Amino acid sequence: MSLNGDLAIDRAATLREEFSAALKNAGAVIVDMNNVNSIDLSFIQLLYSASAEASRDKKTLSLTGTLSKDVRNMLETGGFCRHAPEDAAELETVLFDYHAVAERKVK
Amino acid sequence: MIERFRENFREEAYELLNTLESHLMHLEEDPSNSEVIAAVFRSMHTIKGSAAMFGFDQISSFTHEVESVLDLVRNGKLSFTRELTGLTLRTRDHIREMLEAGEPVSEELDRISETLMNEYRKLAGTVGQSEPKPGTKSAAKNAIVDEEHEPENTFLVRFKPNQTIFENGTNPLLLLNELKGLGDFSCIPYMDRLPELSGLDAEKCYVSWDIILTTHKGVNEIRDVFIFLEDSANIEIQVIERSDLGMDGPHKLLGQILVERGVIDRDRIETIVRSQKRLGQMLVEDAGVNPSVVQSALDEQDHLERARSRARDRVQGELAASTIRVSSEKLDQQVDLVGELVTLQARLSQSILTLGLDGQITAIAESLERLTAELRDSTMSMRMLPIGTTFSKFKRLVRDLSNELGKDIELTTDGGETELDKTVIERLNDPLIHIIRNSIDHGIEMPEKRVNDGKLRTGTIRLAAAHAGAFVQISISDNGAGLDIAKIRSRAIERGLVSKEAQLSDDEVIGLIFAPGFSTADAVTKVSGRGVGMDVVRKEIENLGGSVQIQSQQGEGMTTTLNIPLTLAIIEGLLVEIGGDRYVFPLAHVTECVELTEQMRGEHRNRRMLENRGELLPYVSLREVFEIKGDTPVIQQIVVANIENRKIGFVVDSVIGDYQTVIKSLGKVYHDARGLSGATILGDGAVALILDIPQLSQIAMNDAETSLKR
Repeated sequence: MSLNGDLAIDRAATLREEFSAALKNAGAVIVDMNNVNSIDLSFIQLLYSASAEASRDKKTLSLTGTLSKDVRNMLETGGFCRHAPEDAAELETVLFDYHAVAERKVK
Repeated sequence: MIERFRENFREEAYELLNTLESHLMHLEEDPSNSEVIAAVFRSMHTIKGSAAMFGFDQISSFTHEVESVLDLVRNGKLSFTRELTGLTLRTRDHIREMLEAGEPVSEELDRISETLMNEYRKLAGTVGQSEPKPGTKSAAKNAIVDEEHEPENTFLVRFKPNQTIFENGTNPLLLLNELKGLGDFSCIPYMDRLPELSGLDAEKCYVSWDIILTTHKGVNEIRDVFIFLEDSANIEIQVIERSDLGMDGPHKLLGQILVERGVIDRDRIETIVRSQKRLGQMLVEDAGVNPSVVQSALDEQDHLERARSRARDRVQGELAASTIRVSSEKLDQQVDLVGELVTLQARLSQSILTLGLDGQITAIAESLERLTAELRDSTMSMRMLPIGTTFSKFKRLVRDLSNELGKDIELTTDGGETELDKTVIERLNDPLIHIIRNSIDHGIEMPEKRVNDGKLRTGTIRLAAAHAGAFVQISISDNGAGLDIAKIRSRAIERGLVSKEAQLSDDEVIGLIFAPGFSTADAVTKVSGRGVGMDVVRKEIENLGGSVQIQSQQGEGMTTTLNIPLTLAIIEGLLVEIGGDRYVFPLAHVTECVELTEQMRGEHRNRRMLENRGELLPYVSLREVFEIKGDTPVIQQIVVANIENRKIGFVVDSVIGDYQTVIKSLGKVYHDARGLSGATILGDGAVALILDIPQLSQIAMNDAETSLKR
């Protein structure tokens, strides 16, 4: 999946459909963040939610590309990670670690 | 009491104004330096605050308005143009005048305030800033509490937006960003409400936060951030640590935080603690506490620790930078006492020697000697100031004068950190102003002429200071026209200072400008050329025990070099004896010592001339000058001194050796004693007089002239 532009609330519903479809059709989904300018909370929620679903279905959802400054700022401000890395693949481990903690609680 | 506080405030304000001035000069070179801009703002802010506190209401309300313009600069809405710098410099002078005049301020000063304010308003008006409202005058008094001195508190903010919060266009992350701006901020999101993708309504908000914020601001300001969503979110704010309640207690433990938050009760924690695993881990595994709750509590702990260590750093920083104001009189007194101690110690050492004591008492005397020397050095260092403190004043001088004369001049400084005795620095002020004025007025040419001569349009005056042994060398160089040797010569002939036929070297001609009242300026300008110039400079410098040299290259500029002793309180001297009494030559003037035998005197038929190193050396007998009776020893000594590049010999009975000594003033009664500049107490308790060499050579010269005329 290659995403671009500003991923804000107005695109949230469409994006959710795209994520659902991708996870349904493939065992591994790679999200390319290279062309993403900015994100808002709705997208972060979506990412977490998709990642949770992927791990439930024994599929993988991973990130790739370089994160824009705006994107990193948003992640830091929201407390999703303390120092957001530039490399999306690294961010993935940060986010998924957290996710794993949340996962354990669900069990 | 209040008067004393006011006096303190005045002193502090003068200091602040000086700092302000040097910062403004800095901004003229580097107008966008945000650190300096902030410093300028702070100076103004502090003056405003303390002025109001000590009842200088007019100063306070005036500076308040200035401050609001500076605030625009600080926020990048206005930039430090030359115009604004100039205006602020004038403002600085005006505040100084108001401080000196005291309150109530005269109508005239009030009018100046008004004029300055109008200029500020005009400048500020260009960025569309409305004029300060009349109400701001009284607001000044309320605004004096400096925010940075408010205690910092740490708050826990629980922010739980309703799911529908996105609908009215709110972006929770932006709110967090706003909170971030209030202080030290950390937050942890809770996503336990977040469903998996299939059940997710992407347009609803499922996240909530625990935010920990350490800030100077109060609860209300935090609440203001959320002001538009009181209905669409659940917000709880509580203080979890107040820095003004001291920082001595232990850190909050994880369990304590969780108990306080009501996540778990104390008993349960205690049971678990006994099982000796890491508490956080145990809580998650055994007590079924949500891991993100634990994470959040850990974050809080972390955050508090950071806030505390910051507060501690601040306290230590304040301690490290703490200084005490001591009046310079007290320091002078201290130097006097240390001088006495040095003398007494020397007597002790000498007595032990004469009495032939040794063993333990010698060891004690040696330790005392070491300690005394250290005490002396540290006392002297208390009086030392970096000379750079005066440099910024000269920048201002150059700026103002060159503007007035339509010249383009830049002052560069070097070695501002060189330390000199406070008194010396103060007394250097006038001579330096003279020399710099000369450079501005006579040295640097008009810009057009400079361009024609193939020079850079902007002239440079360089002010440099450096240590050179027991002296500090201060040089003032310019790249202007240099001295006009021919002009000086003809002017000197006009004034009858030299005869028409005299063959003078360039250096000798340059020396003529030190003659009293000498000036080559065709017209007396406002700046210099009144004829009180270099002679006064030289006199002042010599009074300081220093010397002046001038080098000049026509068309390329000139350099004036001042050699100034590090301190006035101690001199390196040469101890000599005449008729059983002892005298001290300041070593700075002494070049060598030679023997004078009866035979040598005879050779020159008592003409008081001696051949020394291939030159004729005139000499005087101090015995005669001071009218000391008694027999002259067969072999006498001549101490050769160098005064203004001329050598002159002083005949003494014998030379004892070099001697470092603390200078004592002779007091008012003897202030007109010729040829003496002070006294000192020797190790054996005897008094030795310190010779004033420049004055003595003058006396000798006059005597020689009168004897020639006879």
